[in-house]
Amino acid sequence: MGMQNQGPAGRGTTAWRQDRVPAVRLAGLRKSFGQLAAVDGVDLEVPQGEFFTMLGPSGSGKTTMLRLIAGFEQPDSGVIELAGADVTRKPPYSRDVNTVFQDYALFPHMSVLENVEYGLRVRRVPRAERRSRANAALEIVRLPGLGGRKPVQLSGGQRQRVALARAIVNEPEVLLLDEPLGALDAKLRQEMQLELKRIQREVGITFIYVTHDQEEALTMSDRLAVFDRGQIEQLGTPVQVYEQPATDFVAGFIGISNVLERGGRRFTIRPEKICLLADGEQPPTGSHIEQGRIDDVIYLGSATRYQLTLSGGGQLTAVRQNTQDAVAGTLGAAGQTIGVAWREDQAYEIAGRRRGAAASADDLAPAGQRPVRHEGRERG
Amino acid sequence: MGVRLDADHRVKGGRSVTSTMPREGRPAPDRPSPGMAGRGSARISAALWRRTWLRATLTLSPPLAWFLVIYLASLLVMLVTAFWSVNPFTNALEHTWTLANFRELFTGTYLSIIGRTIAMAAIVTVTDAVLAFPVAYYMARIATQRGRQLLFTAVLLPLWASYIARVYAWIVILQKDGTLSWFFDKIGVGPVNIGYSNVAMWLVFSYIWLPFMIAPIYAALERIPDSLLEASGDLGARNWRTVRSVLLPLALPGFAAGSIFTFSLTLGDFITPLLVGGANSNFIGNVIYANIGTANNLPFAAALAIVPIVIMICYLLGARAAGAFRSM
Ligand SMILES: Nc1ncnc2c1ncn2[C@@H]1O[C@H](COP(=O)(O)OP(=O)(O)O)[C@@H](O)[C@H]1O
Ligand SMILES: [Mg+2]
Repeated sequence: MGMQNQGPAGRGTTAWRQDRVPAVRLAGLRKSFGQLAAVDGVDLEVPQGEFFTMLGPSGSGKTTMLRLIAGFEQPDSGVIELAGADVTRKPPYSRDVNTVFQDYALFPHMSVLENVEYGLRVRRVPRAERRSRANAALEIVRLPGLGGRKPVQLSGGQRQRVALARAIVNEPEVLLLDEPLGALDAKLRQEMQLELKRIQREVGITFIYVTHDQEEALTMSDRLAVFDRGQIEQLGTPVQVYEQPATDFVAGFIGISNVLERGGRRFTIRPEKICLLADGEQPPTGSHIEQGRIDDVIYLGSATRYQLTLSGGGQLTAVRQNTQDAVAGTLGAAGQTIGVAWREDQAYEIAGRRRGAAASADDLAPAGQRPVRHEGRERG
Repeated sequence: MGVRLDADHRVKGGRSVTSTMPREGRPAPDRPSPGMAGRGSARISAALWRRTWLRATLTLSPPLAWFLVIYLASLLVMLVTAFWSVNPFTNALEHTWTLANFRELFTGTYLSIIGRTIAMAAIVTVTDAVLAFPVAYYMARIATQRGRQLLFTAVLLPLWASYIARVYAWIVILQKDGTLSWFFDKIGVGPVNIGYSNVAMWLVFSYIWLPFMIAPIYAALERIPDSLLEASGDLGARNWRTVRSVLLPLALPGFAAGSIFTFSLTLGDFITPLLVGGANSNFIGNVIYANIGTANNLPFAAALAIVPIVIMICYLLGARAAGAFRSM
């Protein structure tokens, strides 16, 4: 759908910039509330058209990040650029950014259509064009014909869509979404995840999406940043962040992870990459093999989870798919000892806690296993 | 409006469907079987639980009865009295039906009194709305918690002092040789004399009813979530536009509630016109008062007293038609 080309200010003329100028560039961004550093030195570049996610636990500074970009908060220091222009000191109304608020923030005294038209009306877009663009936006979010209703007459999912339509109708450079699915039930949330991806593809707007749900972040994002205490712990594609967590924190926050120490080096390895050896079974070539005692066996349906204590020291969680030739329980019960193997190239070396040991992370990592969190900076 | 009704119905319907009280004849099995009296009271409470309206009626009926007897009955007596007359020679009440009192209301003298009263009530209401909004806005959206408490106390403080004392304070300020005149004299404007005039009444009314306007506007403004104002700015609206398109419409119920106070209180007041009024300051209130006291014409006083009631009914209907209570 050619949303961008409908308005007179379509971005066709700026297409040449798409590879060069990122939609958002943040440099040295800091924001404190009293003693607490909510955003503690963030550098980030988000290229145009990307679905970018900020993932982190509650209180890690994600909302503050969005509020800084939208202009609701002023940074203590640092620079915010939108499409190459410095907007650090500009008020929200002169930034080409729109926000989908967590509570939707629909104007209760206006109809759905009036809500969607609001941004265009404020910018003095002529009435006829306003109407047609608002209706097009309502169509994109699959709510045609509901324009006359008031927000109180809508369900949670419908309000969510109106909030989205109200933002995308302005064709902003960047769309900010603060846990937009947080208030929806699980089934609706999954449905809306797919919808959001579709809408983002259709309108081609850069999305900066905030969530604390790691599964949501992995399924939706082109790239994501994992936040902890106001800093970016790791930046990369979902595959990179999941398969090669750069720090203990990332490894622990995304999925179940195993952190082991062998020969003074710390590794992480995902539970499903671990091979449990039944009697006489041979491990794949290039594997590291140890003995482990089964502490617990947890049947999950499609898979079985094993909690193990390794002879070489440390705890380990392994997950084994219950395929035809690997039926649940065939490996033995708690208390038994079995062979545990993993391929050397699937164990990733990690730094200690990033804070305080920041410089050592790159030095320690062997080539090819370099933590990917500097990727953004290298692009710029 | 329609929505709200729908929502109410849904809630009510839901409650009766999901009611977990045992039906008659099926007591909860895990409870020890109560005696006759116990079972009876359980039954009554179950019936009450299911019939929301019955509960509401029983709870409300004592105050409702009180309201009916005291309030409506006295209104009714007044209405009836308005159709009687007074014998001009004996001053005795004559219980014969007549429309003479109402006819007299529509003569020039009384029409101009009614018009003056409505105009004063309207001007005072507008003045208070204009004065109250910035104060309420500051209290609700800018002041710190502590500042808000201080301001709220400051706004309500005058209500603890006697009405008469406050009006007299204004007389001291406004009268010839008063504080205001002295001040203007000092700064070289020369003495002013606005005591005992309609201007004086406008000032005094506006001052006295101001808290009744600030409080509801404050309550309305405080309820507006920050995110709505941020969303407006986010969508490109400058501050003034946000005030006009989001803040004021959402504060409208507060203005409506406040204006009902200021308008009706001004319409019915008789003390301020008596104390501060001048040559052209006959208002509905003090004319009623004069007819009860000096003139001893109770029927005409009653007819005149119906006027503010009718005006307020029109005012409320008008406000409702204008949508002032829609988001209440
Ligand atoms: N306006 C504020 N005043 C004081 N502290 C704040 C304010 N906004 C956020 N914080 C604090 O900053 C930290 C980060 O908050 P936030 O950005 O909301 O995190 P997240 O969205 O990741 O949960 C939290 O500890 C929060 O308490
Ligand atoms: Mg948040």
